[in-house]
Amino acid sequence: MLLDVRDLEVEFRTRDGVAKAVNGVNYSVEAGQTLAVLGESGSGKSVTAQAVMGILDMPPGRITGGQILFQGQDLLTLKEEERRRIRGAKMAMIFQDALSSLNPVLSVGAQLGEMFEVHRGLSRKDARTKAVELMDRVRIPAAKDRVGDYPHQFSGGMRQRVMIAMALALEPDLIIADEPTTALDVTVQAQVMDLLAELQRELDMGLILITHDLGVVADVADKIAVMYAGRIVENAPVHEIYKAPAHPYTRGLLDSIPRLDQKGQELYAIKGLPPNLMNIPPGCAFNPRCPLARDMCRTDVPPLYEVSESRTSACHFWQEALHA
Amino acid sequence: MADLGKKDEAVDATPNVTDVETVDAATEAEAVAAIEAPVERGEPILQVRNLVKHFPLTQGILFKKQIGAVKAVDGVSFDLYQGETLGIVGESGCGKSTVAKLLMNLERATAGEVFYKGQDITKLSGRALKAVRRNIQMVFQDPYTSLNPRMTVGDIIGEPFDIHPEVAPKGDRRRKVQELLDVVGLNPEYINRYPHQFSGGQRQRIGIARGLALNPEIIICDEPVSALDVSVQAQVVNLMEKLQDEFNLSYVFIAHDLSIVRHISDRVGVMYLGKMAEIGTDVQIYDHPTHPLHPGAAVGGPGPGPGSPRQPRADHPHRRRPLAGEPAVRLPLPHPLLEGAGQVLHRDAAAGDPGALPGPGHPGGARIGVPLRRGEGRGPRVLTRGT
Repeated sequence: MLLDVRDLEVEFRTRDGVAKAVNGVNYSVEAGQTLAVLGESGSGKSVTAQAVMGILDMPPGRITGGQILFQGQDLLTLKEEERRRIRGAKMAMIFQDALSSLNPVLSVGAQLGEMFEVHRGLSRKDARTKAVELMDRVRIPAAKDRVGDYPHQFSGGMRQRVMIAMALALEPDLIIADEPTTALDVTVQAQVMDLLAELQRELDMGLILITHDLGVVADVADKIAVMYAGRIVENAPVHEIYKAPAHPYTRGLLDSIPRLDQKGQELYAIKGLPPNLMNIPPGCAFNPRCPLARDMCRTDVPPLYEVSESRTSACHFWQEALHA
Repeated sequence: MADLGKKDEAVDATPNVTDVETVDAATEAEAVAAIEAPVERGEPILQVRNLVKHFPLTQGILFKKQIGAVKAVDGVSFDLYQGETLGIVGESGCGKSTVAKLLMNLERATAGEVFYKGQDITKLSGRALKAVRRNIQMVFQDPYTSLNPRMTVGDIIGEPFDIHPEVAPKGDRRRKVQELLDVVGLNPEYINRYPHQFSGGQRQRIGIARGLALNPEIIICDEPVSALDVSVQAQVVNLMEKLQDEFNLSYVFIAHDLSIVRHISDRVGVMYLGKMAEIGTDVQIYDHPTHPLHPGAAVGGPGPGPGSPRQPRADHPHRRRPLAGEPAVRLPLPHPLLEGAGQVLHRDAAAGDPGALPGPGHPGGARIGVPLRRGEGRGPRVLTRGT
């Protein structure tokens, strides 16, 4: 197992109270596997990723429980110095907004090369050669001529390629991509996703793909974890989840995508709003919006029920959800 | 149509365009009367002809010299019928938002006409223009920046009444605003709250209520659901469809999410580089695209697409086919490879082969593979002090 997150809990202490962003998340990724983490904004998917990378702002954030096992080692017990050696070299992250994640006053080549200078101790000249190689690898055309260009001289798709190159630089074992295509046009989205999937296969990396877009993940993910209010509500191989979701929230998400055979009809919409993280409803957090909710849902927090060998669902009535 | 890609007229083909019955109003009062006249359902209410907007690029500070133009909108024609939803899709930078602004006369068109009930609104001014603007309203993309954070919801939705007091007399406004809140599914008691107290979906409802305030006939929606989460998107789309029936509205619905556009639209127009590449009913556009942008755009939209819901994976026929390359740049760059950019999408339409897409060294591939020389074509060159 490459990465195994167990019962992770994160909270943020703010002036207005304690926001429980992550409440016992479990997921795992193996080498060469793609896990898609799906959820609306505020569901805790990015916070979990930041905790894994060790880039959570602390304070106000606080990890209050759980383990993050990376290649068998609990990252939460390591010193900052040791974590820094892992970060970049063994695990790397691709951020959503490439323009604000790149330094505007340094050339792209300098930023890519920095990885090699810091982690591998290469000279500036060798680092630059490496940077060109990387840009070639992510198919930035005319890499040699563009290595000295600045981020603003690249288009959105090309900038995202630079981000991917940066994450790949030290050939990490795990890459976390946080909404890598959200800011891009549809046509470019597909290009970037394909590139990412291809590089992952080539390098046999584990990939965690964070997104709120069900469409993006269908083609590339092996399994999907759906998050709601800081918990995983469903964990399943990608085929099965699209065929028959085992949680009413997943079903709601799938049904709210417009489909051809429903044109002219009202779209299915999950009623209500995501919960306030400072005041998560008792029992199942989804119960106020759930069509299947009963008394039990308002009092008992559902455990992760085993639907099949490779599948879990945090719904008391998962059987009903599955056959709805 | 098979021979797209050379020099083709197909790109600015504008089918389904009827003749415009213009109204010659001698006085302002006549113009206003024409604007207030009702339009039958299914009749054209807005007719756009050869609309052009070029933004000039200048050089120099004291003596500004025009060195070129960004052709944001370059000859767009279409009709909007009363009661219909016309979807406009396209990549960022294709000019769809500029079209929206031109329809409102928020930007002055460089050339071309926008006929609203037979009157060219690009030439109107004064009372007549004000009357047009009352009847054409807008809902913006980003519900976080399009609402003033220092105004209460009541002030935001009621502000249009300050400009058009004839719609609601002063004493009646509060009640009117509460009615509007109710119509868009918000609690009327929220009238004294501020925008930050609402979620994204609720804010977009406030934006819609503001758009409805003056009983408009047309609402131009510029990416109204793009910033919202999937579950909330569906709520807002449903609301917009309900309001359309209730108030007999015509929508221009601009978006880049093809599945949402298909769901809500009666007809869809596809823009590419400032031109309307194609326009037709959703079936014509999605199932029988004639423009080479489409196979990519329509299926390029990721995921469990129309017709194949919940059927991911490589082997199924609706698997997305990414278009290679990027939208060409429309700057008149002094580079031979960029000649013709902005006119033609080079792609073997007949074969529908992504491999035939613009690549390095290929015109129309524009930026790709073209190492622009520093300082060239990256916007206006401005002389700085000391040079």
